[in-house]
This record gives sequence, structure tokens and C-alpha cells, in this order.
Amino acid sequence: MRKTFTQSMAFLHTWCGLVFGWLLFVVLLTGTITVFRGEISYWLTPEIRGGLQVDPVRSLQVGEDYLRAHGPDSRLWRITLPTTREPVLKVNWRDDKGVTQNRRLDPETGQEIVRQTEGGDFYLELHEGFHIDRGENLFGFIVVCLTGMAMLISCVSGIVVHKRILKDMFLFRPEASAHRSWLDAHNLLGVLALPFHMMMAFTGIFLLYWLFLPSAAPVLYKGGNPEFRIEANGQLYRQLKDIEPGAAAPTGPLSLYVDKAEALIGKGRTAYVYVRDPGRDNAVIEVYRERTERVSQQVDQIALDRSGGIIRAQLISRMSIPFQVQSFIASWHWLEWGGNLVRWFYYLAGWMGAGLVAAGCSVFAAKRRRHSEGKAWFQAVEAINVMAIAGVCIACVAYLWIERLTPVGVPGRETIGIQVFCVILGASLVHAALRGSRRAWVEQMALTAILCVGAPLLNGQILRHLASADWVRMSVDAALIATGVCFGAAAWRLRAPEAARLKPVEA
Amino acid sequence: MGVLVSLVLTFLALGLFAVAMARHQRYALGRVLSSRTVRLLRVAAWLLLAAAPLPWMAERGALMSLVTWLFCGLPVMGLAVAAALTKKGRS
Repeated sequence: MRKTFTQSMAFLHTWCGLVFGWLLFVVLLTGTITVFRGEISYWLTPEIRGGLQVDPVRSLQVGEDYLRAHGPDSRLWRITLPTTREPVLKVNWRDDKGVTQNRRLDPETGQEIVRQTEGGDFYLELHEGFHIDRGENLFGFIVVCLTGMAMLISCVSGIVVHKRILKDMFLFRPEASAHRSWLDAHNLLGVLALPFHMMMAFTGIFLLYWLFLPSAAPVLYKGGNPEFRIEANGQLYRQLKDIEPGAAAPTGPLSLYVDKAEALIGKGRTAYVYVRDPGRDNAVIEVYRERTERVSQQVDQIALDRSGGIIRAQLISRMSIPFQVQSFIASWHWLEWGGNLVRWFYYLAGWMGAGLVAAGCSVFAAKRRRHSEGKAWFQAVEAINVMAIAGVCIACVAYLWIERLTPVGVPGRETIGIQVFCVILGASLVHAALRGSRRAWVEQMALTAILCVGAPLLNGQILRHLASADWVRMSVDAALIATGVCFGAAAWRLRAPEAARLKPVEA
Repeated sequence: MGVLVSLVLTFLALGLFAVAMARHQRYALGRVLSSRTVRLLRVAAWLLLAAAPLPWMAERGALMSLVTWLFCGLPVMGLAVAAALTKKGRS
């Protein structure tokens, strides 16, 4: 029998949504959490002093002194200045073998922070490539790209399939059957934030253009990716391996170069500084501007030579219109602008995306429960649903516990987070298979709630944050507690059997 | 303050849109409004929606505010309207 267009779209939406939905939930949830990755890194490192009024000039000097002492022969230095989101000084240097060393320092004293943690970047790694090292292979990135495409496909096919989304735009009937309630939630979260969902899926793909079109740059630029990057990114790009370090020659204090650069980019606007071949006569100092008050992915960059002469001044305002448009659109996804207000709105809208996918997976199960309950394939789908949604939520919060409970200096500490994440997903699946999906949903949501509310209480840190009036850390505490309360309410709601909740509703 | 005014205007605009829809009228109000009232509600909703981002833009800059309002402020306030309607429908 010939299928209609709507039936074809329904098939596509259902199966594409379900299979990729399991992956998409991880991507969307971790992407949502990533909005606060700086704050999470700060929260996870109690050694960072709170409530500091950081002086950028002093911090730059501290970073420079550290690098002069620890990486005098390095080919590349990077100093990232502290911010109110993460008041810690970050320094990196690359040795002759090309190995990058990373350290975090107290921005006033220069004391090293011993705790090595991925911090909030753990969620970013999961979001952009399922925590698979892109240096090893691009499998994670490719899967995330496909997932992004599936999200776009599901958005478009969803508009065709869910015909009444505009007429029933604000309709949510929690007292209806599970199928109808979840469908209402799916439609509500989908249609209200449809521009956000499509924008995030599109810009996510847009950012990974190099993965989708891998041959374009090598063909058009005759195999020269650096040439492409110079033109596309508009930035000075120098492969250290192609250039020999020059003769030894002193480089002046970095503050001198930064002062000259800030005459162009604005006083006190420096975010980070690169020094290529420091202490050599071919040294280049690159000063990058912060992005906070501009909707732009690219940043102003001023490159100076050793004598302080400006080699290149790459200012966004002077770039071509296509370049500015590209930078503008990409920045919608790569949120570095707007401050706390915008981050909170992105966080809430991000939860709407994650909720949309969770509700969609639940609709699939609820719709088929009456006819398929007891069948092996359906039980597998229900168990995977629990793991891919509730299990992922547990694993995301458990990461905070693992980070805080694992002693500093334990060998392999950096990889414990992802290992525990995977173990929790496995345990969640087994639990769902053994307990049945309804009980597993309730128990795992309740566990997420307990972990969220309990995390700020670990080592009594919430009291320390209150005592030191550390607003950034207290905000993380508050967000965790609020999230925990929401999960607790969801668990409480799900605990009652469906029959007990049912109330006749209009069809 | 401008952000708050924007959010309130957005909430009101979306609320009026919701009340202008027959399904929501039956669910939340228990009756259907006349077509003249519905038309008036829709006009008022569009006007409010057009005005809603302006205070935000005046306070925080046009580009940044418009992107945040369109992609995030609008859906979050839509969710608040849905929550209010659900509460009203159940009461």
C-alpha cells in the first residue's frame, strides 16, 4: 500500500526521534549544563579562593613570572586571565616535544592549584564528541553531527506529523492518560521553543562545517589548511613546527604589549594572551579580546612583534560582512556573550530541549504499552529509555560527587569521571531491566533528586559558600537544589499508577 | 527592570494568544468566547508581542536582547503561560 506523505514523515519522526533521541538527550543535557562550565569548574575546585577582586594587570604579571620560571624554553605560552565566573589564572606552555602543560594558579599569589580536574569541560567533551578524544579519532564528533542532523530532521518532520501543534500550543493535561500527557508535553516543549531547537541544531552543525565538508579546504586551498584558516578565521596562524625558533633576545614585560593592544580593543578587555617563541628575536605576542558584550564567535586579535610593533590588528568591526554574519550565527551556539542573564535563559531553554526528547521517547513507549507490553523488544526499548534519560541524569550529577570525593593526587584521577559515567549508565540499564520501567523511572528520578540536593552539602561546602558570600558557588548550589526539587517532584508524580491519576478529558 | 517588563509583556501577549484559542478557552475557562472577542484578543496579543522585546533592547542592546528574547525569553514565558493555564484548568 502506498504511504501518504504524512505517514512517511510519521515513520521518520518516530524512529529517527527514538533512536537518535537516546543519543540526543545526552548531547542536549550536557550542552545545557555546559552553559555554566566555568562556574562548575570553580565550584569543583575548593582550592580556588572565593570573593577575590581580581586585578588583571597583577594576574598577567603572576602568569608571566610563572611561565618564565617553568617554561623558559617553551615555543608557546598562553595566559588566560581570571574572570568573575572562574577567578583563577590559567597558564599553558608547550615544550620542544609539542606536549602542552596546563596549570591553574592563584591570580594573586601564583600558587599552583594541585587539584587536576576536567571540571565543567567534562560536560563540554560529552556534548561535542561523547568524550571521545578528537586527537584519537573523530568518531564522537561524527556521531554528534549525525545526531544534530537527526534533530533537524525530527523538528521538520514533527511539524508535519503533529498537526495541531499551533491550535493546541499551550495545552498540557497532566491528569490525562500517560500517552496523552507525554504527547502534550512533547508538543508544548517542541513548539514553544521550536526556533531555539532548530537554531541550536543548525548552528551546532554549522560549527562543525570542517567535518561535514572535509575536502573543501584542501581542494580549494591546494592542500593548505593553514591558508584556509587564515582567510576563514581571519587570524594570524603560525605552525610552530614550520618555523625554527629565532636567536635568544629578551621579550619585554607582557603588560607593555597588552597596553598597546588595549589601545585598540579597549582598556581591561583582554581575555587571554599567546606568546609564540618567547625570549626569541622572532617572538610574537597575540592579545585576544573578551567576547562578553558582543554576539560574536570571533574575537578581536592584536599581534605584536618583540619590539611592540603591531603586525596584525584583526578587529571584528573591520571584517567582511559574510565573516561577521558567520561569526554572529556561530556565537548563538557557542555562548560566550551576554553574561549571567543570557546564560540562565539558555539553560532554561536547553532543559526544554532535553525535556522535549525525554517526552518524545516516553510517548513512543506509552503509545505502544497496551499492545506490546511483555514483548522482548518493547521491554528493551523501555529499559533503554530509562537508561538514556534517567540514567544519564544520574550520571551527570554523580560526576560532581566523584570529583569532590576522589582525593587529589589519586593516579588516573582525570579519567575516573568518564569511567564512572559509563558504569552508571550500565547499572541504570540493568536496574531498569530487573525492576521494570515504571519502578525504575521513579527510583532513578528520586536518586537524581537526592544526588542534586546532596551535592552542595558534600563536606559542608554550602555553609562555607554562605560564610564567604561566594555568589558564583552559591548559584551552583542553588541551581543544584532547584534541579533536585524538580526531579523529586517528577519522581513523586510518576510514583502513582496511571489508573489512579486518570480523569476524563476532552479528546 | 527592562528585562522584567519585557518578560511580563511577553507573558501577557502569549496569555492572550492562548485565551484566543478555542481549545484553551474550553479547557481553562470552560466556555467559548465570541468571535469578536477572539479577534480583539488576537490584535492585542500581536501588539503586546511586538512591543515586548523593546524594553529589553533598550536596556541591554538591540542585537543581544533580540537573540535572547526570541530564542529563550519567548519559549520560557510560553511555558509559564502553559503552566498557568494548566493550573487554571485543574482548579
